[in-house]
Amino acid sequence: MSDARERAATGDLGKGKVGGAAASAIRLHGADNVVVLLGEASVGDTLRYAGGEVRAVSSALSGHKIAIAPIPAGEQVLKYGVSIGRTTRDVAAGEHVHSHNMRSDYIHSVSGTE
Amino acid sequence: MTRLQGYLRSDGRKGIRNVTLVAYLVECAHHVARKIVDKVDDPDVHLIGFPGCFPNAYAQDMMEALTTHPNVGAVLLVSLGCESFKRSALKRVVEASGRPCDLLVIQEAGGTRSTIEKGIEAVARLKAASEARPVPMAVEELVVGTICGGSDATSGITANPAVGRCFDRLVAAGAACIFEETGELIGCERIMSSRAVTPELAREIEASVVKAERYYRALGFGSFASGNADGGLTTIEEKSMGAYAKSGDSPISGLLKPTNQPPGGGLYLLDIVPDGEPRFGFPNIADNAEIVELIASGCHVTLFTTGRGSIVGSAISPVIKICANPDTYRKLSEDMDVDAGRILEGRASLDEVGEEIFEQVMKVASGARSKSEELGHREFLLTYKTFEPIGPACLPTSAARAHA
Repeated sequence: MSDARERAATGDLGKGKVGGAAASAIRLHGADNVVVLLGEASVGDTLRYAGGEVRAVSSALSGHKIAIAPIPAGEQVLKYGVSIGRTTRDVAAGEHVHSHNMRSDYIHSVSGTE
Repeated sequence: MTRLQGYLRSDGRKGIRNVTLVAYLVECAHHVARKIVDKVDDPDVHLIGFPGCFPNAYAQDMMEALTTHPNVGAVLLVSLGCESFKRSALKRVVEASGRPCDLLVIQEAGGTRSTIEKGIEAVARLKAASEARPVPMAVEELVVGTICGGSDATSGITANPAVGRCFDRLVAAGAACIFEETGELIGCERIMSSRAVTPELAREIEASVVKAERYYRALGFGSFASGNADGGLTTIEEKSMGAYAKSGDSPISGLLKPTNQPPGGGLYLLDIVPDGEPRFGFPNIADNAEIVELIASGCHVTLFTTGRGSIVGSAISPVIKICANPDTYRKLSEDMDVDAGRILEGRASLDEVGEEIFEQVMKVASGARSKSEELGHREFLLTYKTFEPIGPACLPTSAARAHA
């Protein structure tokens, strides 16, 4: 756990750029509206994942999320089949989804926290 | 249908190994106990122990649960003599379980060399006395735990969800599965509690995460670091979901604390964060402390997911290593049982790797050695903690049974 807490998701998933015939993103659950990049994506790249593909309209690094469908402002972002937060503005299919266009829904249970 | 074989114990549980334990009851007896195990040099003779001299109810309970674990067939206790551990009480518990048990007290046995010699003879005697013919064992009788350690960006998208698939399969087959570390589940407590089988259990689960958040905060550890955002994680609930994915999709049947045994098949959350104000430091100073707690709650096998490449095993119960990162797998393949990083490279699906992990559990439960087990990893960590007993809402099925 000690390692996990400190290091979770700090590394690169893959060193290369996405593209070619292999899958370039992973959809972790059938209900998800985002996929996780397995390599760096540039604008115009076709991102393939099991069950579909989407054209990137933003560039993003591996491990980051790309919307596979339009997500209107205030809608849930679904990953692992559950909500991991909400969009703060309209997000287009193929757009990078991160802190610039989504936020946490989590309210800290412990008083005195931000 | 897979046919497992197990060693039947007097409490009705079955073990997938027949281990003889050598247990030191204070650090002062550690060297003697280790020498006994080293000289016997048998892959089924394991060293465990508690280093502290001051009394601690948790340590006593843990040692009782571990020495009567179904994978254990016999026990040699090694005491210095003046430590506060209740050695006679522990010996009575082991004997009452039907296991052969000997106690050596170094201060009475003639010192270091004499005790080592007596210990070697005792282990031979105990091991012979515990020999038993395995009997058929059902998947429903298995208890399987999971933990992640040395995680990286790959853990949450390959190995952890693949273990979740395996857990779903095991739970559907009637096995008990245990996941843990509420400190890593901060942010997904409501997602998690929505899977609880009763509203009362849901409240207990949420309270356990609140406790964990408070505890880690008091120790100065938040949960979301800037490196997480650089890696592509946006929210705390997203990060926690990566670890939480190990639990799969089954309903959550109960909340355990270390040494509580699952009352039947199903998925259980193990709360390893101590109760009360932080007193003894970190809830788990390293991964093996959590593994030992999973084993104390009955786990026959532990599924360990790692991205950066943990190599540990455990005393008592085998550890199966599921490597999340394909680069790490190539570097450390001699330590890894399952290459979940294939998912990243498009060479396997989550379902396929989940199935492979399930098959690996069946093989190891049938007697095949896992990689860490074959390599002789027998790590063990037990330190001070404090827990209050769990409330009746934590195990709804057994509470219902008690009222029936």
